[in-house]
Amino acid sequence: MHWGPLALRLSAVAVNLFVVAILILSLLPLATGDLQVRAPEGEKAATSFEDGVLTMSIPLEIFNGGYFDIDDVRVFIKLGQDGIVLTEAATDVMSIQAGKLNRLDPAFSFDLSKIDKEGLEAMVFERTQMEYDIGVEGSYTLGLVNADIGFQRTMEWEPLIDDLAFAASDPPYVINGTSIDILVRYSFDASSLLRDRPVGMAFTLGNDTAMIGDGHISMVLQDHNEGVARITVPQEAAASLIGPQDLTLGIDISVLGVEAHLDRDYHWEGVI
Amino acid sequence: MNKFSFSLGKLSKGLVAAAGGLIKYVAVPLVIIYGAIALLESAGGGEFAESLGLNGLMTWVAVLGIAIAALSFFRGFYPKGSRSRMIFGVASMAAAGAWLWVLAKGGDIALAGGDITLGIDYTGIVLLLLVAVALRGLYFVAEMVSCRKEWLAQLP
Repeated sequence: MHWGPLALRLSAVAVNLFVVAILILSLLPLATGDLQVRAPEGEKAATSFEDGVLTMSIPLEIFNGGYFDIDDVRVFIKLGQDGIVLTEAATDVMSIQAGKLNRLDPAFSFDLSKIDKEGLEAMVFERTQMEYDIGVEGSYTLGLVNADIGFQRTMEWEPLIDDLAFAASDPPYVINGTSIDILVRYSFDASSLLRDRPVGMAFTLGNDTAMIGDGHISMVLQDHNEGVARITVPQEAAASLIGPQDLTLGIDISVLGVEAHLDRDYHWEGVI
Repeated sequence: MNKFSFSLGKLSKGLVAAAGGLIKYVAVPLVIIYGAIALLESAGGGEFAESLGLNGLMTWVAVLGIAIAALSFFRGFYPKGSRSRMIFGVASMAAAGAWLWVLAKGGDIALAGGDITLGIDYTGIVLLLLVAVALRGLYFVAEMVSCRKEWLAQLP
């Protein structure tokens, strides 16, 4: 008997059988629907906003009826607009153990304070179409198979500050000693994430050549907010307000570590 | 005597080995790939079949499979214990390794269809299969060493 060649041949057969076995054990549960993902009953995604970081936590229950754990699972989300990535977040590494119902709470933290100025303005003030680039990666079958799946969706983004409107108050200005206080009526809706949060709004008013006045208000946000902002134009610039003209109203909003800027046209009827 | 002399071999054994090679490395894989293409297209996954390059893969599998079958003919043709059988046996397994690597797309496939992308890295599985192929290659060396005396003894 030629034991050496026989041993090698049997070893080759054993390796092939091992591969076939793990492939069958890996693929069978996936083919028979033994991998199920569902949201726990009565639980919803939780969202919070602190120090400029928007955190979303999504409770999931995943039943892995297969024979192998799914390890090193991570979910990535990129938020973008017009092909430009504004911010991205990834969950911690998770493990989906075989033969049991796994409870996962993947959380995504988007650091809005690191978004560039234009992107942040869109996220804070605009109801816009946002591109979601979502990816999931993990390893399976004793780490012999690594997979990643990605898909892109375009969804509507709910702004943090919505329906922001400005109009001249009645009266539109008051004389305050040697300066003029321009009174601007504002109104806006705030996202529920911002409810009961303090916010500071700084206003600037400028014409074609220079900034002519400024003002500031602080408030605690409600779902709907409205009031009158007072923009002081000092004596040396007040002369420029005699005739009607189009001015630029600049708004800087600062809330929970995020600062965003918005410019609006403001028609000035002139001093009567 | 030349170790590659045709007088040393047996045509019927060579033909049996070549036929086995053709079935294992050409016919069966081509049927599976063709079936996969048909299945993907009927399920609306024509884009996936295209991004996998399955049509080009069929050509490569056929070319390499025929090369393995040709090498298998000579491996079967020459008797156990001969260096010629060992050389063709090792060469056929080396070709089988290349064939496996091509068939498995290097253990890394990327699929794209619509707005979905899927990447699967199964290099570990492919390496295990290559280990099995390497063991088959070693088998022909061990077989030559093991059967050498018997073969030399029966030479005229």
